[in-house]
Amino acid sequence: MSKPSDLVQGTLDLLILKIIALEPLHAWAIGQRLKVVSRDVLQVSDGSLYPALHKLEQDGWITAEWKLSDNNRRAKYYTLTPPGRRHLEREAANWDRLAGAISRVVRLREA
Amino acid sequence: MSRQRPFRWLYTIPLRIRSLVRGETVDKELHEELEYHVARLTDAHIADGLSPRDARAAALRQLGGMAQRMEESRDTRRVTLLTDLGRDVRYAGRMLRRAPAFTFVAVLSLALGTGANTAVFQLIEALRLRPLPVKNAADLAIIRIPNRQGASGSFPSRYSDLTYVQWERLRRDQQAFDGLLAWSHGSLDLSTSGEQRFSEDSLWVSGGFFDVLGVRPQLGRLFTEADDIKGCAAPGVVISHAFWSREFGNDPAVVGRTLSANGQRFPVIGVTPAGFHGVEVGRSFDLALPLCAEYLLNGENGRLARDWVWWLGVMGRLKPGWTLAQASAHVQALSPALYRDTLPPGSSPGVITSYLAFRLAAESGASGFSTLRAQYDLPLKLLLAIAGIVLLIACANLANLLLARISTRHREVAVRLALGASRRRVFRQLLVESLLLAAIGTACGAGLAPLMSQTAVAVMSTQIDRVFVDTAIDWRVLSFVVGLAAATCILFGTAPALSATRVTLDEAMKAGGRANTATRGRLTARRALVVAQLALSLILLVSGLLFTRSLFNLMTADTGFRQTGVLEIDLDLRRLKLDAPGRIATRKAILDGIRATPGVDAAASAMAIPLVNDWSQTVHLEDPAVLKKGQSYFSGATPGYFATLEIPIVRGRDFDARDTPGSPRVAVVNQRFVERFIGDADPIGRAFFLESSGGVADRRVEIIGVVKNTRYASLREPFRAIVYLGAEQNEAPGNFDSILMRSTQPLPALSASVKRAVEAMDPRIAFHFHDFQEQIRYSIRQDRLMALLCGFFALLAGVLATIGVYGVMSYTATQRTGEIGIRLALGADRGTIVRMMLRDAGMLLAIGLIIGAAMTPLVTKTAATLLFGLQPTDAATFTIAVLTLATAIAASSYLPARRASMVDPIVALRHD
Repeated sequence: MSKPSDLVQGTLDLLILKIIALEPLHAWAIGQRLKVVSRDVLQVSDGSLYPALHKLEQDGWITAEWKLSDNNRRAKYYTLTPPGRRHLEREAANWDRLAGAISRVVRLREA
Repeated sequence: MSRQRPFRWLYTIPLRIRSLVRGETVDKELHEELEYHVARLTDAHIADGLSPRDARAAALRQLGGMAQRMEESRDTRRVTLLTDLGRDVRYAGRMLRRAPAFTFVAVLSLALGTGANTAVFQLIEALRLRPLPVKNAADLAIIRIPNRQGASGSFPSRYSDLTYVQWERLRRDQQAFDGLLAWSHGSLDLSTSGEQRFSEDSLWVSGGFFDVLGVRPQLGRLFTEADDIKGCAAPGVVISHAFWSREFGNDPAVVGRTLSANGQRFPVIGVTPAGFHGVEVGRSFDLALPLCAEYLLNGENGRLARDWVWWLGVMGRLKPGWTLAQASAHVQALSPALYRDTLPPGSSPGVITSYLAFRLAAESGASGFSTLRAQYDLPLKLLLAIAGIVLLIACANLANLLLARISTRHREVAVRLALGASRRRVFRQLLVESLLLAAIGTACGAGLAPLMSQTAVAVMSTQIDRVFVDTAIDWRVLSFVVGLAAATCILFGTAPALSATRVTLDEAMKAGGRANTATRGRLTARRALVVAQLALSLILLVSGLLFTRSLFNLMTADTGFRQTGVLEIDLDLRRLKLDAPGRIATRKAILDGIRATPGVDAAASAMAIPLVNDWSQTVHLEDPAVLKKGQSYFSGATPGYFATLEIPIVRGRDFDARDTPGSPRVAVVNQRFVERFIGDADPIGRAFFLESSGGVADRRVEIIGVVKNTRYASLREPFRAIVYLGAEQNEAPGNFDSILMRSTQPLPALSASVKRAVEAMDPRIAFHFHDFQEQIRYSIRQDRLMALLCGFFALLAGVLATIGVYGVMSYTATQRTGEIGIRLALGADRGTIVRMMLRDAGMLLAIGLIIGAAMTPLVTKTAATLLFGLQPTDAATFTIAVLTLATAIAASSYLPARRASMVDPIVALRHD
């Protein structure tokens, strides 16, 4: 359970929202998708995904329903809610602003 | 923000409800979801070549434990606080049921503490805070002269603010109010013959009284302006709901029936609703008659007919848009003309000057009229402070008991912490136990409170003056109670819970865990609590003793006259319809008849009953060489008055047969009068003039005797100068007379035979008996209340403090069993052990007393004006309090100390 690449505090929510925005997924798949899309850079520890998901659910950003999964077992599929979608847009814009600002600072040339 | 997420609650609310209502299903789903994850992980590990068992174990490891993850997820549900609370309350209930003795003591002490506080608060609330139960009470204003000093005349009401002519004039001129009401109170005789039966307060009310207040009738109709026309001939009477129940058994057909008041019959026209008790807080009423009926009953000698009788209280409802300040300015501006035009004819120059200077003002009338409010302001505040201290002591006691309990529950706490409960969680659980105790205790206290407050009201009122306080629980009292519960819980629950959760695991798991730093810290805390209890108890003991001794002083105070075995009969001759000579003859005949009644040792008429009536006038001496002018107090007496009350005559003579309406006026004065107005010269034969108020010429009066000083209006004040006029010299005495008689017979037997004698003379004579001493006791009812309540609180505090000390000493004894065993084994004798333990208690006592002694004056100094015959710093009182407390504490610590010393060394050394 080491931390291969610490997620910036609070960005896990953004990643989950973005991934679910593409298509409804269950938790396991969200973890896998995250790994693949980030080319293994972003690894979410197995434990921390669930509290994050449930918090988003309780906040009303995502909603869940039980469906049969690809391996024929019942799994809980998460979908974005309309407020969640707006929340994602806001957070994504925030992130862009923040990331841009940080990279500008990092790229400053030393005099 | 909320604009940007409009429908989020559509998703969140159903989730919360589901978590609350179907918690188990939600948990099952959570488990299934995690199980799915584990299954996928296990599959992956199997694919990597692990055995299925190892694969699953690895998967669970990777997840970090199923239970932990589930707990984390549960925490996101936002309802854990509620579900945990429910569980905590159930658990706490179980814990309390398992320790019934502890729970009983805790609940009882809390109930007494909170009950006392609630009761005092109820009284304060009822007298000060609660608005009158009428329509928009906030718009009501009382109109009066804020400082009426220098006014001359008669002031028969508790609210003698205006005379009738002033009221008429004010009503005509004012613009600020939508309606004005005037009222007064009196007591009406409901009997038709013989012994009188008085109503509780009856009201005289102006026609608009009920309209201005917005009171609707329960039955029939209430007065209108048309009912109160000056000179009305046949007005009706409005009765209160209570009177309707009491006298008419809630008869729905009461309207139209008649009742007798002071011998006149009045038809009942309506009944007021149950919650309406008039505009005076602290009293209720039976009957209401229009103001004009006063003239009908009392005629030219009544209140309405005479321009110098101040008998009306006035209230108005502000017009919309008028503020109280504007209305006050308005009535003030009306005042000069009002007082110029209503000046009673024949007033002396000094009286005229002050009369013309009077200015009316408007004050808030939202909570009505009340004399009790001012009278009981300081006593009630003091009582609230004292009840607060009682509660503090109860809380300290409870904190102490809880600390003792916690130390036996270390293992439980440690186990729960080891099983993964967070410290916060354990702290909360312990706090919930305290909260439950506080809630139960306060609920019981709230149940006790009306009982206590009604007892206090009963002490405040007497046969003569019935106090009525509506102590129904309303939202103010309710919020006070809830606040009280929360405050007590924090006071007694926080420290024990904190101390319990401070334990470290390894230490708590060690068997016993004796004499380590944590328990030592707890013991210090417990000692501090005991010291606080002792200090607070001392304050209460001193206060209780001060008020009890003050009451004792008042009850044994030398009034200068005999109090016991004296019966008073009040006579009313109005039904006989006599002229002045007839009244003189009848009064004389009744007095002679009473004197002849077997059992009566002496009897005389009095025009002012000591400590009950108040009558003052200005006198100036005749001899210009010793010309002195000033206020003196008055009474009138028939021959034998001084003998009846056993007031010694020090010079001159008593009234006798020589003093008739035709002879020169004579008076007996008291020693204080001589000191003040005459000095060393011989007073006998000297004369003074009575300055008149109502147009009668000054009257010359000659002094024939001097009597010893007696108390006049109050037991508390210094002797006043008193003039006794010869009652039998009055050529036109009134219809009322009061006769005092002394007897060695029990008063009920005496009143029975006097009753027969008076009835035999003429059945139309109306009369009424009073126990003379009872009336004097009435003047000290406030002192009785303070002594009773403070005494009770002091006792309570003492008992609680004793329990506290006993608890700590027992605990210490158990803690030190091992040590004591060693000491005994090494040869210490049992006496040494007892002394050692007692020294410990003595130390706590000493510190507690020193702190208490320093704090006591802070409380008692405010009581100075309420005490009689002793100072708040009274040394004897202080000494008694200290000794009482010390004795109680010594006794309560001796038992555990002795028990500790009796321990068998072998057993003691094996002890843990």
